[in-house]
Amino acid sequence: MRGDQVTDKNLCMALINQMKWDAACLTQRIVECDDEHLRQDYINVLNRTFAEQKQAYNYANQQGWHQPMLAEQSMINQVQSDTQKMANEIQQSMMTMHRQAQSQAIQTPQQQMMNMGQGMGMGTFQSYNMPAMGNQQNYGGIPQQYYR
Amino acid sequence: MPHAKGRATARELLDLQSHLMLESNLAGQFNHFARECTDPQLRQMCESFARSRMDAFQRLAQHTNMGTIQ
Repeated sequence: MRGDQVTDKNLCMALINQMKWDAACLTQRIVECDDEHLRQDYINVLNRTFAEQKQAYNYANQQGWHQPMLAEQSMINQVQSDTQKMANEIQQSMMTMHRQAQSQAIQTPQQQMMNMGQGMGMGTFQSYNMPAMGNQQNYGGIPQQYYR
Repeated sequence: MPHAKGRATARELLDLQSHLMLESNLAGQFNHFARECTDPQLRQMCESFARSRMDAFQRLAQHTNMGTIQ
C-alpha cells in the first residue's frame, strides 16, 4: 500500500492539520488587528475552529489513528527538576526586587530629594541600584508611607 | 459591517484578503474530502466543516465593505 493513498485516515489527518494551520493563521490575524469588530469576528471563527479541530481529533483518536506517545518517567523528572530551578530563580529575583522597593520606601523625603539630585548626573545608576547598601541605617526608623 | 474607525489599516486589509482566500480554500478542500471518504461519520464531519468555513468566509467578507486603506 502506498503512503499517499487516499484513505479515511489520510483525509482525517489532513483535516486536522488544516484546522491547526487555520487556527495559527487566525491567531496571527487577531494579534495584528486594530479594528474591534473585525478582531471579534476572527476570535469567533478561531473558537469555532478549536471546537472543530477537537472534534476531528477525537474521531481520529477513537479510530486509533492518532495516539500521542506518553512521556517517559525520566523525561517527567527532568521537566519537574528544570521547572523547580526556574521557580527558584523567579523567587530569587522577586525577593531582590522586593528588597529594593522596601529600601526605597523607607528613605526620608530629604534623602529622596538628594537621590533625585544625584540622578541628574553620573550617580543615577548607583543611587537607584544600590539603595539597600546606602540606606540601611534608616531601616525600620521611618514609617513605610512611600512604599507601594 | 462598517469599520469601527471608518478606515481599515493596510495590514488589516491584506490580512483579510489572505484569510478569505484560506477559508475559501478550506471550504473547497473539506467538500472534496467529504466526497472522497468512505465512512459516513467522517463524511458528515467534513461536510459540516466545509459549511462552517463558508460561514466564516461570509462573515469575514462583510468587513471588505470598509473605507479606503491608510
